[in-house]
Amino acid sequence: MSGEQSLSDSVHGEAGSSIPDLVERAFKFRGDVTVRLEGDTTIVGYLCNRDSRAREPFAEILDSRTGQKVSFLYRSIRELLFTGRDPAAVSLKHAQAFRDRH
Amino acid sequence: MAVPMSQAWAVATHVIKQRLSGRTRYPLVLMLEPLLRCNLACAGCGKIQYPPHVLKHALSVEQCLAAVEECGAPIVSIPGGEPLLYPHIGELVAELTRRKKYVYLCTNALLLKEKLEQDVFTPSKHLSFSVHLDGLKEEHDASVCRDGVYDIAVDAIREALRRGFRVTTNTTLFNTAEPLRVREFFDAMMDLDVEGMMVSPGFNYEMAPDQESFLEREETQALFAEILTKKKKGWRFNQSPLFLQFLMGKREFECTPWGNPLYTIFGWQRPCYLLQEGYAATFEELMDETPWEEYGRESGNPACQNCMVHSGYEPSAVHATFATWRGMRDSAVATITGRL
Repeated sequence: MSGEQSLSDSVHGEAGSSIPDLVERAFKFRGDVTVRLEGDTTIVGYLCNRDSRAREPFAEILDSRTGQKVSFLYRSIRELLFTGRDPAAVSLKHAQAFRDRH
Repeated sequence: MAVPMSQAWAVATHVIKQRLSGRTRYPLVLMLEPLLRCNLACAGCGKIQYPPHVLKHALSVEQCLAAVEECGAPIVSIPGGEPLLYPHIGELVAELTRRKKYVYLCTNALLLKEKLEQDVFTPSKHLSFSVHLDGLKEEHDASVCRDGVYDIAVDAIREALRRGFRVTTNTTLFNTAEPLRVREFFDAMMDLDVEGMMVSPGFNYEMAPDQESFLEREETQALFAEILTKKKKGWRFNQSPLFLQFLMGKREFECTPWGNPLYTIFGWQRPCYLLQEGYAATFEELMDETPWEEYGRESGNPACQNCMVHSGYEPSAVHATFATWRGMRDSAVATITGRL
């Protein structure tokens, strides 16, 4: 699968995104994602970095199980799902709850 | 003068050395975040919204020290997250002060008194607690979304001062700030006898829960002009007077995003302390491969248009002080007379 082909994005229901677009969205998302790579390796964690301008575009995930940073190439991505809760929403609820009490 | 002479000298010699060696981009303050976890969730903060496993993650002391060596800045600021939650904070600070780095430990002070009583830290001219206080009791507790935090912080400040530590305050202002109340807050901090105060407008973090209280550029200038015009002589600021004049709209600077680089659990953050556009593996890569021309107000980058935060503009003010005789004279006059 090349970087121009689409991936499934079932949780957010926006099938048809290109790999760079999807990785960019994942980078801006503050929850965990699940990435399935070629060879059927699956990593769950926080996508903490990416470089789409590199000669071989790559992304990095902080693996939620091992705590290690795992690097992989865009072209090895088979599936990327937004599977974690959005912590920004939790933070918003906390601030709203404080305001409501005052 | 709010900053000790030895610290001012360390910064001055660092700047002069860099200029003599022909370096145009150099860091002044390393922002070192050993962890992102915090024991508060402030309305204007966009730095802590991560999954639990990320918040549990922390740099090792060795990683921190390697970053400090790589960067070479004379000042190391330790924000976070809440650095007093970092299990190795005592060891890290001891190593940094041993290396004669000037350390600002930025804390909400909830755990400060406890750490002082446990003798985690030793007083040193190289260590200053920079206590987060966004105003008097009512304003600060609202800003951090928890009642009682102001009283705990003030109590901890008193204890730190009693034990001979340097203490400064770090204040972020939003469009909810009332100039008269801010002036009263400055009076209160001077009555507490903190060494100096740092003040800055908030940055409009995309992830911050409160998206309505960030100041636009003109609002920032109007607010700071109202607060700092007729500045009381007794107010001591731990900042360049030229930066305060910039906040008041009396000077124009362009941002210096590389001036206060950030090293965090993800690496060297591009391009600055506030914008999170990616990470470099090394400090050299950060400096050499970041497209700096895409940042700062003149670049037209929308994310930079309203930013007047100290992490980007304090280095510009320091640069202006040393770049021309006029800058040095203006800075000296403002420091000596206390007028902005």
